[in-house]
Amino acid sequence: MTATTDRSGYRTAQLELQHVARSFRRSGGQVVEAVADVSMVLQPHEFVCLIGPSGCGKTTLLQLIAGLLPTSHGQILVDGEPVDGPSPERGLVFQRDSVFPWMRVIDNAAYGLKCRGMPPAERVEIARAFLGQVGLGHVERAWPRELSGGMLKRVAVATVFANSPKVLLLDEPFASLDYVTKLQLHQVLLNLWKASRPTVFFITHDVDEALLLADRILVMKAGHLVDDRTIGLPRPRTVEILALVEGVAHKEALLRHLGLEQLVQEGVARP
Amino acid sequence: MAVFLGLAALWQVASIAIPWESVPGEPMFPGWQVLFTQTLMSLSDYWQGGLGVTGIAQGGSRTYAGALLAILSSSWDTSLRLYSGLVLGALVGTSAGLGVSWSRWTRRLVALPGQVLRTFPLLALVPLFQLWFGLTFQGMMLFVAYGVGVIFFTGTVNAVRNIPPIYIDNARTLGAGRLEIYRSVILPAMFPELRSSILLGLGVAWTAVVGAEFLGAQTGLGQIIVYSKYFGYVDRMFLVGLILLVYAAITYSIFERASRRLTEWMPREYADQPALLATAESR
Amino acid sequence: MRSGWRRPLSASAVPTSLRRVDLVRRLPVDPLGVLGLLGLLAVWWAITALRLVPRVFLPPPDEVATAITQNFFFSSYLASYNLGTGGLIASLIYTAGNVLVALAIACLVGTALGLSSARLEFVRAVFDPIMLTAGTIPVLVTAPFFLIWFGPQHAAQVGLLIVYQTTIMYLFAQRAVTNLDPIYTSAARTLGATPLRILSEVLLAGTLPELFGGMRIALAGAWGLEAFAELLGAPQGIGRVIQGLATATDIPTIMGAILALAAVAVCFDALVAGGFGFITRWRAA
Repeated sequence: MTATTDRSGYRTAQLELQHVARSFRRSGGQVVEAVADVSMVLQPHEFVCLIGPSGCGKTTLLQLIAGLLPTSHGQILVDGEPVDGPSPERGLVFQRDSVFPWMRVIDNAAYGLKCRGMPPAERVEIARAFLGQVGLGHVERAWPRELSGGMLKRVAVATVFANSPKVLLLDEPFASLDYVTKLQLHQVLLNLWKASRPTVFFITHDVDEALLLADRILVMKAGHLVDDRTIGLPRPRTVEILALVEGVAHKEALLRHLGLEQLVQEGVARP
Repeated sequence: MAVFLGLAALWQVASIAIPWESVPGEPMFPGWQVLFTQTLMSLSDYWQGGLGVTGIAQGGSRTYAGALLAILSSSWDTSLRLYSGLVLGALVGTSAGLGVSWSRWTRRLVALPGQVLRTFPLLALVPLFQLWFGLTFQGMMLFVAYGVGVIFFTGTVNAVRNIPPIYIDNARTLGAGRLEIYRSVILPAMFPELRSSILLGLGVAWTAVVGAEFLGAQTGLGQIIVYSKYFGYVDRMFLVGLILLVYAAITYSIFERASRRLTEWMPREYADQPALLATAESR
Repeated sequence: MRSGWRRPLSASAVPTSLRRVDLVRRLPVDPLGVLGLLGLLAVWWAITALRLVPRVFLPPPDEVATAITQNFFFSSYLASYNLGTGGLIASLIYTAGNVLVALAIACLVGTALGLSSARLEFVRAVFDPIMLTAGTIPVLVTAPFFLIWFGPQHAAQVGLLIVYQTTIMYLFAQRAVTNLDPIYTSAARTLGATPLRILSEVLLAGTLPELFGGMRIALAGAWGLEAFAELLGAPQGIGRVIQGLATATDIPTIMGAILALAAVAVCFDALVAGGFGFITRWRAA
C-alpha cells in the first residue's frame, strides 16, 4: 500500500483503530482493562488530541499505536497496513527526557536519519535545519546535560520531525515544563507541523492545550472513548478566538467530561 | 540450583568421557563416586595421629574417621588464621582511620600514603611477609590483618570525610564537644561503610589466607591443596577446594546477614544517607 | 581517585580573601598528601638509620632504589638466578602482557554475557549462579587447577585472571544495563533502530561509564593475582622474580620489584581513569 502523500509531497497517513483493546494482569492476579474496545479513524494531516483524566488508559493507547505494546484485541492500521512493532513512520515524542545523553545534540537530531542509512554529510545538514527551526541552532555541539528541560524537549521534537514520520505521536510531551516554555513549545510544534503535516495524535490532560492545538478532540474515560469533538476554530488560535462562544462551549463540555463542572457557569453553555 | 546440578552432571560425564591423567594413575576428572569414597579416605593421610585414630605415618590405614579429623583440624587452622587476622585488621584499621580523621591536617597528610598503600598488590607481598615473619601462625595472621586493615582504614577515612561538614557544625553549635561529636555523629554515620568494609574485608581475608597457605604453610586447607598439586592428586585438590568453597559461601552469607543488622535498625533512607542519621542523633 | 581534601564550602566558613587557597585547590594532587608521602619516606629512612629494626628486615630506601635501578633494564644478577637477562622490565612486560590479554578477553566475554543476561532470561538463569559463586570464593583456590591443566605456562596465569576478571565484568555489565533507563531503548526503536544498533549505540554507549569502572576494579586486583600465579609457577614475570629472590633472601630487590609492580599498576589505573574521564564527559556532574 503506498503512503498517502498529497500533491505537495507531504508524508502522512490515515490511522485507523478497529476495536482495539489491551488488558494487563496486576501482581495481585486481577486483570485490568486499560483500553477497552476503542475504534477511531484519524484522517491524513489531522491534528487530534486525546484528553482524559489520569489512569484512563491514554498512555497505553498511545503505546499500542506506537507499536511498543501489542494489542490484546483488535488491530491498528496505518494506511491499511497493520501495525507490528515500532517504526520510524510513527514517530513518538515521550513525556520524559529521551534525548541520548551520550550523544551531542546534533547527533541526537540526526539519529533517525542515521538509522535509515543516510550518509553523514546529508543527515547532519537536515538535522541542522530542524534544530534551527526549533531555535537550537547555536547549541548543536552541546551535550544534553548542558541543556534545560525545555531545550531538551525541542531537541526531541526536532529529532522526530527530522525523521519525517507519517504519523506523529506525542505523550503529554510538555507536561513537565513551566507555563511560558510550554506555550513557546506549542508554537514550535505548530510551525513544524504546518511545514510537513503528518497526522498527529497528541495526548494531554490539559484542556487549554488541546483547544489550542487540535482539529479534533477525543475524550477518554476508563478505557473507552466517550466524546469526539471537531474543533472548527480558525488558526492561529489566539486568546480572542478561544474566547468565542464556540470555543467556550467546547471548553465547558471538556471540563464537564473531566469532572470539573464547578468551573462551568450553568445556563450559558451551548453544546 | 538447577545450574549446579547440571554442572555436577557435566562433571560426571567428563570424568567418564575424558580419561586424561595428570600423573599416571591419577585421573584429571575424577567422578563423584571416586571423590566421596577414595578421595575422602585419602585425606586421612594428613592426620598426624591422636584422638584414637592412628596416623598413616604411624602405620594406620585410611579411614573415614581419619579423613574427618584431618578435615576438621585443617579447617580449624585455616579458620583461626582467617578470623584472627580479620578481627585484628578490622580493629587496627578502623581505629587508625578514626584517629587520623581526628584532625583535618592529619587526614590530608595520611590520605595519599594510604591510597598508595592500597595500590600495592596484596598477594605479591606474601614472600615478603614470609621473609619477615617466617612460616609461622603470627606471620600469616599479620598478613591477613594487613590486607584487611588497609581496607578498613581507607574505608573509615572516606566515610568520615564524606560526612557533610554541616552536620558537624550543627552538632558543634548545639554545644557538643569533640568526643561527643565522634560518638553521636561520626560513629553512626560510619555504619553503612563499615558494612561494606566487612564484606570486602572478608573477601580479602579469604584470599590472603589461601595465598599465605599456598606458599608454605604446614597445615591448613590451602596447604593440603598445594601439597596435593605437587603429586598431581587432582581429586584431593578438587574435594578440598569444594570444602573451601562451601566455607567461604557460608561465611559470606553469615557476615552479610549479621552486618545487615548494622544498618537494619536504621530507616531505609538513613542507611543510604548516613548524614541524615547524624542529624537525628545530635538533636 | 577523588582528591578528597577539597572540602565543600560551608556557609559559615568562606574566607573572602584567600585566592591562594583557590589556587591550591586546583592542583591535581593535595600538596599535604605529597608531604605525607615524603614524611613516610623520611620515617622509613629514619628507622633504618637509627637501626630500630635489623637491616635484614627493613633495608634503607636508597638500597631499595639502587636495587631497582641496577636491575631494571638489564640484569646479570637476576640472570644468575635463572630469571632471564632482561632485568625487571622484561619481567614486568611479561606480567603486564598476561594481565592485559586476560582483561581484553574478560571484557569481551564478561560484557557480552552481562549485557545479554540483563535482557535474556535464560542467559541470566544459567550464568547468574555461576558468576555469583565465582564472586564469593577466593579465586585463588582455582590457581593450582590451572597449573595442573596447563603447566607453569602463560595459559595458566591468563586462565586464572580470565575467571576473576570475567566475573567482575559480568556483574558490572548486568547492573549497568539494569540501571539504564528503558526510555532510551524505546526512543531508539521508534526512531527506526535495528536491534544491533540498539545494542551498540544505546546499550553499550549508555553503560560505558559503568563498564570502565568495572575495568578499573578488574585491573586493580589482577596485578596481585598474576604475581601470585607466577609465584606458584611461571617461566617469567615479576612474581617469578620475587620468588627467586625470596629463596635468596634478597629483601632490597624484592621490595624494589614490588614497588615496580605497584608503579605499573598505578600507571595503568591512571590510564583507565583517564579513559574513564573521556568516556564520561557527557555525564551530568
